[in-house]
Amino acid sequence: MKSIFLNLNKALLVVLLVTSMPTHAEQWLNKFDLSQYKNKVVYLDFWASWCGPCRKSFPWLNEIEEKYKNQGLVVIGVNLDTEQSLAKQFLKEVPANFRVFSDPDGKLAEKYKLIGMPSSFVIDGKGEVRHRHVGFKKNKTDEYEKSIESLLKELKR
Amino acid sequence: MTVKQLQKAKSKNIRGLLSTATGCLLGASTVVQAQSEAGWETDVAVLIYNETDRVSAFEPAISFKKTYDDDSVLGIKLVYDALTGASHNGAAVSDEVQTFTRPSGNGSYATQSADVPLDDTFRDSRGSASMNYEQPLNRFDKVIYGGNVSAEHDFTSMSGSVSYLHDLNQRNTTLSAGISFEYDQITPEGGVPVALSEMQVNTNPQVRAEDSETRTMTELLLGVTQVIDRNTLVQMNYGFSQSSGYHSDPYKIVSVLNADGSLDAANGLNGTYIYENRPDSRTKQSLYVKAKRYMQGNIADISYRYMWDDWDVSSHTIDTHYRFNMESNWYIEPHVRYYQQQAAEFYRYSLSNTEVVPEFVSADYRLGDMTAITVGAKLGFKVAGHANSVRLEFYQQSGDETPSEVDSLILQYNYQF
Amino acid sequence: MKFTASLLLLSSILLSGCSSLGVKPWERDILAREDMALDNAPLDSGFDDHIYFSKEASSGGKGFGGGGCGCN
Repeated sequence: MKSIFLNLNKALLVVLLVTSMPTHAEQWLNKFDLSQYKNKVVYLDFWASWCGPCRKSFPWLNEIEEKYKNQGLVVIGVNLDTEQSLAKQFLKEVPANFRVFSDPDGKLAEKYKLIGMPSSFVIDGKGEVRHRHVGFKKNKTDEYEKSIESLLKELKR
Repeated sequence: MTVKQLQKAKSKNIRGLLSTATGCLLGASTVVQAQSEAGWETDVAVLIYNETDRVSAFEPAISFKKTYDDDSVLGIKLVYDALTGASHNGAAVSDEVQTFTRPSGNGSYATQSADVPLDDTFRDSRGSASMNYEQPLNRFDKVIYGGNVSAEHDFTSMSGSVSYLHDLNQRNTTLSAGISFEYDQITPEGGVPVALSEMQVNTNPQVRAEDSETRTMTELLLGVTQVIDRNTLVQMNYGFSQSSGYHSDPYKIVSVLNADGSLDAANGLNGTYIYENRPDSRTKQSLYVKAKRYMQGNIADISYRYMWDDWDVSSHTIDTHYRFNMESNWYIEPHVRYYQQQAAEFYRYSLSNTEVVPEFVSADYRLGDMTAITVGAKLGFKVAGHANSVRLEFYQQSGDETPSEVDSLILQYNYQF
Repeated sequence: MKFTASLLLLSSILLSGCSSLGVKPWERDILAREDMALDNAPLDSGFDDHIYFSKEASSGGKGFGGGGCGCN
């Protein structure tokens, strides 16, 4: 019985969060150009509306964007839906407060040689890919954060 | 436990489960997504199966599924099955009135001339619980454990299985290997009849052996699933199973007739009937192929199975579904299934009293030559974000003799919380 | 020995043939659909397996289901 109420509370919380959020928190990029993020750490995340674990990763992506943006982190979500409307629908349900870029033909996915979905690349201040993660596991977020923090430290040096 | 007690316990169980399910509904109806975050996905379904003049079944089922943070998945399913009606006892149709002793040995029933001999004492309820747990080992390998218990007043079954799945070729190919073991116990009403013994009039003692019999089965399944292209998926399985123990149906008899086909009165009955006898082992093999293809918004699902065994039974099954996806989340899915089987070598519609009784014999129409067709459709729609579906199908069996002619209706309702 | 060798050869041909088939990880939009799952209506197929198991002489081959009845 207790858990039912907990679930209900959780659900209501989600409703409140969803309704209180600005409808278009995400920022669509027209161009993908990493050179404009010199001296920043870029967390590049490849996602799609049909990918279950991607859905689970968004709250965490929002969290790290918020937590580290003043230290120089930029989160970019590369969307691989063939139709951008599907991505927009998805973002209505699962909001993203980070930059998103649409790659409907998978050109970037091909370039980064994705082996699974979602796939993330942590890129240092010089534009080098230093870490990659395949899939999203809640029990591994500490590990993901460590990889970001270590690159952020390098920026300060 | 009596049937009534079982039902009571069962309904208590189901009530408890339904209240949990309602909890999920409350959580889910506000935000659909919240429900899948919270954990349990709950599905309920009710099936009504109704054969013209024969068996009727009422089957509610509920299933729960939860995906954990480490991507492991737990599934639980409960099914209850209430059966009533009459079932063919194996005896041949005659132009004379026939009388039979009930399986319990108490009482008798009569079949009019030209009618299919049906035992109308058939009443049973079955409860079954199964669970499976899927555990990923790494990105490419996972293990699935399964377990099942099922019980009715004269039959108990327990089984367990382990399957290993391995992905390769960028997850476009999945190889699987699984093994399962099953243990069954049969405790027939009135005891296990001695194989090939003659049915006695109900005022005489019946020829019975043990109170119960057992059977074990080991099954091996090897499979490949292959993604062909963005729209197409193919699955292939090879199955091998070996069972040993009691395979006969304790309630089935075989008519022994005079050379001219008339009844041969004996043992206080106006005909001669012997209890069937099947071999005490069976080795089955099967090949199964299934393809699914997305075609401009609709989905075609076609499968074929070839099965053969050392009883000389062989069968072809073709199962096809085509799902038309309509606007606003509803769909209609016609279904056609064709089944054709070749009889077991020991199947006989009836025996003659001029021949030596064979070592193995059964007149169970389900072991005879058979063709069966299922035609129907399923209608799916969403109400307040919850998937509903209704399925209506007609299943028609036919064979060489009248007992094989069975028409049935299948009606099912599904609701997803 | 000969049998094992030919089996290995056959499976390697099959697997290498299969490796040219398929899609990239980001092209699984349709395959990820609920209605494209191999068993997208497990309750339906559970009922069907039980009906046909108790009415016909063949069963199984698709996957491991639960044990059934030896009933009428």
